[in-house]
Amino acid sequence: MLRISNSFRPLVINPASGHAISSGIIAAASTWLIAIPLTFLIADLLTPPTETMLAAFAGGPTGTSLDVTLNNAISPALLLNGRQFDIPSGSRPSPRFGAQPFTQQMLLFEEFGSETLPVGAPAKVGPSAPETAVCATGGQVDHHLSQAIYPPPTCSSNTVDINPQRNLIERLLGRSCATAPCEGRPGGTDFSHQRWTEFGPQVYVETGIAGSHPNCGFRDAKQRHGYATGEFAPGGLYHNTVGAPGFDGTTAGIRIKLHPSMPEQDPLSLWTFDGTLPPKLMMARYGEAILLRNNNFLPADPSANRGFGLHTITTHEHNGHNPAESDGFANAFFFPGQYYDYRWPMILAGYDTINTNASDPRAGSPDGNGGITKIRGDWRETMSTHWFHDHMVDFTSQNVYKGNLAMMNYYSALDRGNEAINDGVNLRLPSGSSLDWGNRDYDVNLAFGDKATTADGQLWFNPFQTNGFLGDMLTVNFQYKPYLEVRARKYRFRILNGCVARILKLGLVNQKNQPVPFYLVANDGNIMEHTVALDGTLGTKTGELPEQSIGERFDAIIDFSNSRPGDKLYFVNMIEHKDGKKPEGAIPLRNITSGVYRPTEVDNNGDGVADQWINGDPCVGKVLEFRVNAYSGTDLSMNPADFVEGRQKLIPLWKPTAAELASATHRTFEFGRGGGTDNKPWTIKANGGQSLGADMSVSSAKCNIDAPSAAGMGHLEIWTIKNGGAGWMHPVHVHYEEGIILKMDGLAPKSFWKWSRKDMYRIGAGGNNEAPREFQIAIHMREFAGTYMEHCHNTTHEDNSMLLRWDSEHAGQLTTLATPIPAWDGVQYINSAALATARTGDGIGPRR
Amino acid sequence: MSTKVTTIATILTICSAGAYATAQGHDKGPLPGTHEVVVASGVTGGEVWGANYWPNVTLTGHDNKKYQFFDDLLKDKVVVIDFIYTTCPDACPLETAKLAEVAEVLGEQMGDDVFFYSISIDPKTDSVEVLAEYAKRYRAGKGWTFFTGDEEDIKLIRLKCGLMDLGGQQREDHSLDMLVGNQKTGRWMKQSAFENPYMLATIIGDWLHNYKQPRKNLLSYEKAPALQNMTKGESLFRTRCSACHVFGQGDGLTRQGPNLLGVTDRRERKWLERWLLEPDVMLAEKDPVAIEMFEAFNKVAMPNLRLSQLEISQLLDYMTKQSLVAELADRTASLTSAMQLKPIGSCCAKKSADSSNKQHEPSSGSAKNSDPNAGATASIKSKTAMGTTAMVSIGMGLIGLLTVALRRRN
Repeated sequence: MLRISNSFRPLVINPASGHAISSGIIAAASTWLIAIPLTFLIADLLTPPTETMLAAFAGGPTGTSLDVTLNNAISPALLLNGRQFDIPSGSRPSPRFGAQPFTQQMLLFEEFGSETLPVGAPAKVGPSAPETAVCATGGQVDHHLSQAIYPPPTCSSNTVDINPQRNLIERLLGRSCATAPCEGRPGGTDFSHQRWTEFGPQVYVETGIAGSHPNCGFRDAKQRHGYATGEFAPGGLYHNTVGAPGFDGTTAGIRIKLHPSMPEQDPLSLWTFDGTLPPKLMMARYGEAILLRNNNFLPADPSANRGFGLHTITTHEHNGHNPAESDGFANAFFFPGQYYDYRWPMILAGYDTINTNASDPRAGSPDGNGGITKIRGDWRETMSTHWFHDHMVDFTSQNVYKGNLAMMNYYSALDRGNEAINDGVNLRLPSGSSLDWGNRDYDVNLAFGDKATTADGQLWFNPFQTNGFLGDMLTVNFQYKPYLEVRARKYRFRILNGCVARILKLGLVNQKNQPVPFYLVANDGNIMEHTVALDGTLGTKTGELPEQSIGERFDAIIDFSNSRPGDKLYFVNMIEHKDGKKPEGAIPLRNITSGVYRPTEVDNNGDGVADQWINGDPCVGKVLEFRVNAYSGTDLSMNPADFVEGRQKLIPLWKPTAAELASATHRTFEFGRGGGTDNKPWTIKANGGQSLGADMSVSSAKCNIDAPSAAGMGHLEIWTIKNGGAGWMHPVHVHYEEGIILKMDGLAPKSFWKWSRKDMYRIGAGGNNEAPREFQIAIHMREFAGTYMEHCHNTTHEDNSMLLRWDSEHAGQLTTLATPIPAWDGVQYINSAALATARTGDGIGPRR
Repeated sequence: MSTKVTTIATILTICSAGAYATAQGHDKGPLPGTHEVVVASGVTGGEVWGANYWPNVTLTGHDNKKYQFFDDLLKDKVVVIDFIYTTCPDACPLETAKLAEVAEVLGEQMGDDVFFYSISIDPKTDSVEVLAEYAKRYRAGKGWTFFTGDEEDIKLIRLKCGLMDLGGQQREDHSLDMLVGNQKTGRWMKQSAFENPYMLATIIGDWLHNYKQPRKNLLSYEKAPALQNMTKGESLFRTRCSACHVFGQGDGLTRQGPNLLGVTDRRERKWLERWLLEPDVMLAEKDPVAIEMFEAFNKVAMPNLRLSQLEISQLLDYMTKQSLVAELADRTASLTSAMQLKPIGSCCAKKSADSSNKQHEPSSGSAKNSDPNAGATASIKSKTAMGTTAMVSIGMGLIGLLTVALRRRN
C-alpha cells in the first residue's frame, strides 16, 4: 500500500491566472491538491479495508494485503493439472467485494478538449516530475496539464531543452547523463514531422500517462457541451457524471474504481491518460491538424509497477492516416519526464491526388457555423471511430491493460455529430443537435476490457504466459457491469474491444431476455456503404453483432423508442474463452440469459478463497444495462433501415478496377508458429520466406508511394494475410492504411464484410465467415512515408514476436530508414535491413 | 524551460524526509542525500515476482556446484533462461550457438551484469559431466552455466517461466523462447534466440538494467553486420548458420563449425543437400565425412535445421556466391595492403564480403522527407556514433568500404 504523508498542503488557486500556486513546502509524498474536497480525499485514503478484504488475506504468510501483492499466481499443482477455464490467466478468481451487477452508472468518456496553440506561452511552473519510484501525484499532473503547452512544438524533436527529471534520473542511474532531452521523439530528419508547414498543428491537446488519482475536474470547462447543452445540461441524463450527489456538471472527485464497492486503484496499479477516469476522448475535425503532447508521468524506477507495465511508452493512433513519426512505432518509445509530440494531420487520404481543388462538399469538415469547410482528398476515405493506445515493444499488452488507451472520434461533413443539419451531405447519425458538431447526447463511446485483480482489488497481470492474457471481469469504460440511462430514441454506440486477448460478440436482449434487432453502421470506425440489419436476414442473427476482435470497432445504432420508460435492455457478451489462444465459440443467447450457462467459482481447498472458475467463462453474460427514460424531443436522426443493401448508400466503398488489381504488387503474410527449428516463438512469414520474429531493424515490406497504380488511387497493393495453423486465432492489424476485402478463404466477402473498409483482419480456423483462414485485401498507400507496423492484435502474441515492420517510401529512397534505439540520454539509430522480397513482394495481381 | 527545471529541482531537494524505503533498480544501495521514495514493500515488480513466486529448488551447475534457483541464481540479477537437452538433434544446438553469439557481444558484462542459464529438460541424461562437455563445446564462458537437477523441479521452473506448453508433452516440443529479465525490477520478457544478437544484447545488457550502463556495448554495433536487402539465402544463413559458420579467415576459427569458404567446391552438391536436409540421420548412419567433422569440431553435431528443399537450394546458391565474393575480397584486401595501407584483419575481409553482396545504395537520410517543406525545416540528422551507420552513409565501392572498415579498426 502506498504510504501517504499526513501533512497535506493544499494549493491555493490564484484567482487572477487560474493557475494553482504553491502555498509552501511540498509534503514528503508530494501530494498536491487542486480543488479536490480535502476531507473527501483523506477520508477515503484512511478507510480501513473492508471485512471482505481482510478475510481475503487470512491464511497468508503475513495475513495482510502484502501477501496478495506478492503473488497472485495460482499454485503449481493447479497449473500442472490444467484448468477447464484458465481465467484469469494463471490466477484465482478476482474478488467482487460484494459488487452487484448494474448498480453503478456508466461513466461517459471525458473529452480532452483541444485548444489553439498559444503564441509565446510562458514556461510552466511547478513540478511535473515524480520521485523515481512513484508516479507523479495527481496534483502535479493536473497542475502541469492545466497550464499552456511549453516548450512549443517543433518540427524536429526538441533535443535542446532538458528532461525536467534529469537530476532524479541521474541519481537513479548512478551516473550523469551528458544529454537528457525533454522530448523522446527520435531526433533528426527521419522522425521530423513530415509536411510540417503544410499540416502544422492548428489545435493541440496536452495529456500524459499517469498513475491513478482522483479527477480534479480541470477538464470540465473543456467539454464541448460545457455541461450546459442537451442531455449534459442541468436536468439532462448526463449532467451528473456518476449518478450521485456532488457530481453535477463535474468529474471532480471521481476515483478509479472498477465498482464503488471495490477498492480504489493504486497509482502503481493503473496508468492512464491524465491518470483519471472517466476514460478520455479526443474529438477532432477533418482539416484541422491536431497535436497530441503526451507526457510520461510514470516512475523513473521500472520496478515501481506492482509487477506489470513498463514505464517507457509510445502512442499509436489506431488506423489514422498519419505520418510514421506520429504513428507510435514500437521502437520509438519515450521515458519518464519526457514528452512526445504526435501530430495528426486530419487529412482525407487521397489529399495529393483526388479532389485537389477541394470542390466536393462531401469532402468536408464542419465549419462550426452550420456549414461545410471543403477540403482536399477522397471523401470515400472519411473515417469516424478510432482509438489510441500504447505500442511499447514487448510491453503493449501490459501497458494497454494497465490503462494506456483513449478513444478518438473524427468529425466530418458526412459524420458531423449533429443529426439536425440537413445539407444533403450530413448523414445525420444519432448524436444530438445543440452544437454544430460533436454532439454526444445520443452518441456514446464504449470501451470493453477484461480485467483481473488481486485479493485486495488491485489490477493484476501475468507477464509469464504467452497464450494471451484473459481477465474474469469484463468492464465497460473501466467499470464492472455498469448501467446507462438512455432516452426512448435512437442511439449510436461506438464499441471498442480493448481487451488483451479476448474476442467479444455482443448480443442485445430486452428484459424478457428476447433478442432485440439493431443495426451495424460502421466497421473499424469506417461508415459502411450500407447498414446491416442484425435481424436474422442476410446471414445475421437477431440482436447479435458479429464477433469482434481486439482493436476492432463496431458502430451500432440501437432504437430504444420501441421500449417504454422503465424498460431495461442488456448487452450480453456471448463468446466463450477457455484460454487466450482462441475463442471457443458463441454461447446461444438463450442459454446465457436462462442461466443454463452458469460460470461458477469454486474453492478447491476449503480456505474460503475461490481457486478457479468452472462451468463457464465468467465474462460471458450481461455486461451493460440500458435503462430507458421517456424522450420528449424529436429524434431527427437518420433511419438505418433506409440504408440497407439495395437502398441508399452511406459512404460508398472505393473499389479498384480489375485492371488496377492485375498490376498491383502482391505480398503474403503468414501468421503462425514458423516452420523449421524456430517453431515455438510467434512469427510472421513474409512472401513465403522464413519465419521471422519481431526485429524492429528489419523491414519486411517497402511500398513506393510515388508509384501510383492508377490515377488518383495511390499505390495499390494486394496483401494475403493468412493463418499458419488452425489452432489459434490472430486478429491482424495493419497500421496506417485500411483495406477492402477482396476474398475470404477464396470467396467473395459476404454480409458486413463486403461494405467495410478494415484495419483488422481476424484469421482463425476458417470454415465460416466469422474468422476465415485467409484474407486477400486491397490496400493503398499515399501521402506519407516512414516506418510502420503490422502485427497480431492479440497483444500477448504481439509482445511475443508476432509483429513486423513495413516501410512506406518515396521514389528514389534507396536505404531502409534507420531504426531508433532510445535511452534516457536520447535516441540513437542503428542501421536497418530489408528482406529480399521487401520491394517486390511475391508477385503481381490477385491470387485465385 | 529553465525556470521550470529550477523550480522542480528546488522542490525535490526538499523532499528528503524519511527513510529511503527502497532501492529498487539500484545495485549499489541507497544513494546519499536521497529523497523519500513513497513505495512500501510489496508493490514493486521485484517483490511481486520475488521469493514468493519463484521456486527455490536446487539445481546443479556444470561446474558441479549446487545452487538454489531463486536465492543464488535469480535474486537481484539480470538473467537469460533457456531450456535445452544435449541430445536434441535440431533446435537446441542452434539455440545454444545463437546464445553464444549474444554472449560474445555482451563481452565483459557476462558474469558481471548478465547471467545465462541453460537448464536441461532431460536431467537424467544430462549429468554434470555431459553438461560440462556441452558447455565446453559451445565455449560457454564466464556467466553462462548449464544446469541439471530433479526433473519435477525443472518442470516447475519451466511452468513458472511460462516456457512449458501444457499441450505439448514431447521433449521436441519444448519452448524455444527464452525468458530474459531483471529480477529486481520485475521486468520480464520472452525473447527468441533467433533474433538479431546485437539487438538482444542491447535489450539484455542495456534495457534490462534501466540503461544504467552508459552505452557499454556501443562498440557491439560497430561489429554488427550492415544488413541491407538480403537474398533469401543470405537471410537464412544469418539466422540459421552464422552462429557457427563464417566465410573466409579469422572469425571462423572461433566458431563451432567449419569455415564455409569454398564449401560448395569442396563437397558434392548432392552430399551438401542431404547434409542440410538430415545431418542427424547421416551422423547416425556414420557417414564418414560427417563423422570426421563431428570429431574435428569438438563433437558439436550439425543440427537438423528442418529446411525445405527450396531453402536448401537458396542456401547453397548463397554459399557459392558468397565464397566467390569472399575470395575476391581477400584478394582486394591483399591488394590494398600492398598499397601500403595498414594491414587488414580478417574481419574486414568478412565485412566487405557481406557488404559487397548487397545493393550499393547511396545515403539518403532525408529520403523519407522528400517534401521540400519538411526537408527545409528538418534539422540535421543526428545519428550518433553507432559504428555501422558509417557503413551506409558512404557510397560503397569495395575499396571505399575497406577504407571505412580500416578507419574503424584503428
